[in-house]
Amino acid sequence: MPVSEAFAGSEAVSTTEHSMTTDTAGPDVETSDGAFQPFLDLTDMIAGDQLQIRCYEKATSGGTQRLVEEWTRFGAQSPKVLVLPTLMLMHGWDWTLDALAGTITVTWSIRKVATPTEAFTGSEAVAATEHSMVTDTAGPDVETSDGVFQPFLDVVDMIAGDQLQIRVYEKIQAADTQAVVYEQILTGAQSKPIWTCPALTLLHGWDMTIKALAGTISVEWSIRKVG
Amino acid sequence: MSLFVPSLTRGWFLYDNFGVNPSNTPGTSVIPGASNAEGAWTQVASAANIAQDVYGFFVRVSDGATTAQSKMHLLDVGVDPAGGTAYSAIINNVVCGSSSPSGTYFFFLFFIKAGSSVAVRIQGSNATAGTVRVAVRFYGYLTHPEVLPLGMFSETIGTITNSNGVSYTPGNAADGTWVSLGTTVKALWWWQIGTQRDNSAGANETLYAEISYGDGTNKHIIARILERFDNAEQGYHLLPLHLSFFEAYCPVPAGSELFIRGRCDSAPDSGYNGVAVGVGG
Repeated sequence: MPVSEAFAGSEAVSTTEHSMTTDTAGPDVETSDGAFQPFLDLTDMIAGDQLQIRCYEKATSGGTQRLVEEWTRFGAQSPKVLVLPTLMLMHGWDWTLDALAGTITVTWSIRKVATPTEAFTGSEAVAATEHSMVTDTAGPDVETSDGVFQPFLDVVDMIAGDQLQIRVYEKIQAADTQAVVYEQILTGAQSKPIWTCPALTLLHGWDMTIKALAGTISVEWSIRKVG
Repeated sequence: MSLFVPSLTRGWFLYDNFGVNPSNTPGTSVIPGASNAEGAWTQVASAANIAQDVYGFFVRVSDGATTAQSKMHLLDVGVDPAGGTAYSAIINNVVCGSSSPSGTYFFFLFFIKAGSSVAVRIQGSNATAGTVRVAVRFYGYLTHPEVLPLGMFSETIGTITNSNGVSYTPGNAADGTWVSLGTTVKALWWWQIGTQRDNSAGANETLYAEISYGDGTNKHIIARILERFDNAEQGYHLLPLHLSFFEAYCPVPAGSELFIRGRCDSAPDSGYNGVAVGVGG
């Protein structure tokens, strides 16, 4: 897969949240598709500094941009370069910087390693029936398309008392029985309403499912694919 | 596709109810319920105090013991995400009775949304409620939140009878018999041990207790604690080993049977009981 530098810049960041895609105030709504990984040089950070780094995205093309993840660094750094996870971003994303204390000069490079496609998308008011995000019907299904897949879910609808189970199923070998390979359960309102997980290489008979263990929860999703 | 596994995370936000620093009585005084009744919620952090998302919290329970009295206690931790006083328990029935001024220690890897208020309540066995001191410190502002599992629910494994967990008999300088605590409902990956001695005339003795999961033949030990019980009916952790990530973190599948056993440094007194508290998400 070819690697390119999609965005790069340098900024003396203060209390205004700063977009690393537009190099202006952020967050912006970037719609270029890619599996992106930021590298940040934090050499300038000293005692007393506080830097917040955020990733935003829309789960679906018609969705609302919300927070995916937030990282906070304090003081002088070791190591001085911060590398963040690779995320498949598509619909309205940004990575931002905000100095919560101090003025911090940050140099960044957002590398792109592949161009994902949206393999499956949908929305559902999910209740106690496990729901396939591949077929948009009751699940789990047995999907056999190959690729590296990463799901993005908008779970902003979750409120106190709700409980959402998210699962990834796969067969280890083609003739094996499908089994759970990843599971997370979210409870109550979410601070970071766009949920994602590490990209998984899926081959033989997989699915990604949602199920409300408590409540009825409206979820929008997008399963992105590379390969 | 590039892959990068980040390093571990550091939490830079903290809030606690320890009071003046230093204090030899850190925490908040809580009045337990009497005669096995649940106590009232006592706030340990307001919505303003929980200024950031919390990913884990430390708890010390102390000063609940009375000489020649059996004072068994069960601790709940409750959260109101709206920042009010409508608390729902996120941690239930942590066995922690007869705590000395040194106290017993717990850490829960559990997510609490910023702006929530947090309270504790205690169920007590004794007809005279007395007081218990509860010290809590919350951690947030993570450098790498993606590497930390998000605690979203808990299960207390072990049937509660009155204000006791599951009874077990420690061995005399040898391991006692494993006693079943019950079965997990969901997959859980963070574990703490709650133990106490329901005895109003106990001797000085030291307990090494451990919890495990497995079956009738094979068991995997999850976590251990070393706790001292004295003849003033006080219990306190000598080695709260379950605070260590390497003991507390242990993924256990849904539907697993949990067990507890102990050993004492002498012929054990009666009244030992306990639970395992697991967190998942």
